Amino acid sequence: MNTSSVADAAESAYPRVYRALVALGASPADAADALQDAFERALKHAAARQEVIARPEAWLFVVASRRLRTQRLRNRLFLPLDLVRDHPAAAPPSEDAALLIAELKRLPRREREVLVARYVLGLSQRETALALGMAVGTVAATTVHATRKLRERIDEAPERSRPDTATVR
Amino acid sequence: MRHLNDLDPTLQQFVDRATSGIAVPPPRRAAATLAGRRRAPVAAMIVAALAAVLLVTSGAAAATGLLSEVIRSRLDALPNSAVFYSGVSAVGSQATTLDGARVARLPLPRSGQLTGGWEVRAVQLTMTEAWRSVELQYRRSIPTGVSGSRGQMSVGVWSEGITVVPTTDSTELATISGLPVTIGSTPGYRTGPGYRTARFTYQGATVIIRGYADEFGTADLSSLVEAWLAQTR
Repeated sequence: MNTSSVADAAESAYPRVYRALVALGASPADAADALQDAFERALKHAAARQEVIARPEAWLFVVASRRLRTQRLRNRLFLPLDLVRDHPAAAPPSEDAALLIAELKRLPRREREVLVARYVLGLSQRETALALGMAVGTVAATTVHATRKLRERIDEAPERSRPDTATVR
Repeated sequence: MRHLNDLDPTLQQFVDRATSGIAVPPPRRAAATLAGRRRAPVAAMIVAALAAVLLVTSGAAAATGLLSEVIRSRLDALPNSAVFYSGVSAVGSQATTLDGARVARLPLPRSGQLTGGWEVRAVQLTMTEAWRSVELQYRRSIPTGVSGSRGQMSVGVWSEGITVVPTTDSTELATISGLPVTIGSTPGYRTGPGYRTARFTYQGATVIIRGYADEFGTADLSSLVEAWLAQTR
């Protein structure tokens, strides 16, 4: 895969991967930063011709979500650096999006990642297993279990107070 | 071949609808332009930074004959004090005194002492065209019998014009001296201790008092907020 085809693939995958990162709980600014970093790595990867990136969405998602985790650790250690960053205003998510993000956030990280990979990115069981470093059987079982949990919680949500979009990061 | 038959179609519809409600900003740079960028190797940057720090430190020590003082001040340095403003040094951040920081026209205490034996040890002033901030580092003698006590805390005061993003894991609301105050907590992490913050708005400024969780209970933070307000009013 050469540099220009990676760039094209990255551009076309951008909206879907960005939404997947936000669904994982990233703030808009962090999601944009992480994705930008993943783009750069993809281009370097292609330039070095180390290997073909079969599913750019999955590749970008994995690299960007790892960077997000690193960023969260840094934010914990260096709080004031995060404080001084002037975040650009982002459009608030829709009510459904806020509900989805809030309910995903309540799930364990692995379940959240599997659901986002399957439902938001549209990856297959095998692609998800490869991307997240899990067995295919584990992905299948996690999908069924986490789907049921998420579905129940979303169905119950209108009876509870809806989450405040301002609190969804 | 994609295997979608194990997905819940109703949930899939909801997810599709929900994610379409997440606004996607345009990429900050065209991806193609990134190909030509070259980043210096991380190891080389670290070595260069260490060499620069060593050069400056040893040069200053040799010039002033204060090598022992340099070492002592390093031992005494507060955690994070070196990194608090490293991200904004280009916009005019400088160490100053409490009185020197009053040019920022922010609500600051009248004296360097706060109830509880706290004494201001370092003041950092940041001025930009859009906003101003003052960071006060406090120390006190470590109280005996308090496990994990460090005798350190900080207070940040931010003007309007900057978004101060809360980063604590959990928050609760309290009213202290008639002001709504958000008490935030972040549990200890493998690589660092937990901390608590008290965040409130006073005279148009955002004030955040931050201390280590094993030294500051909610009551301690409340006392500090009261002391701060009494000193500032």
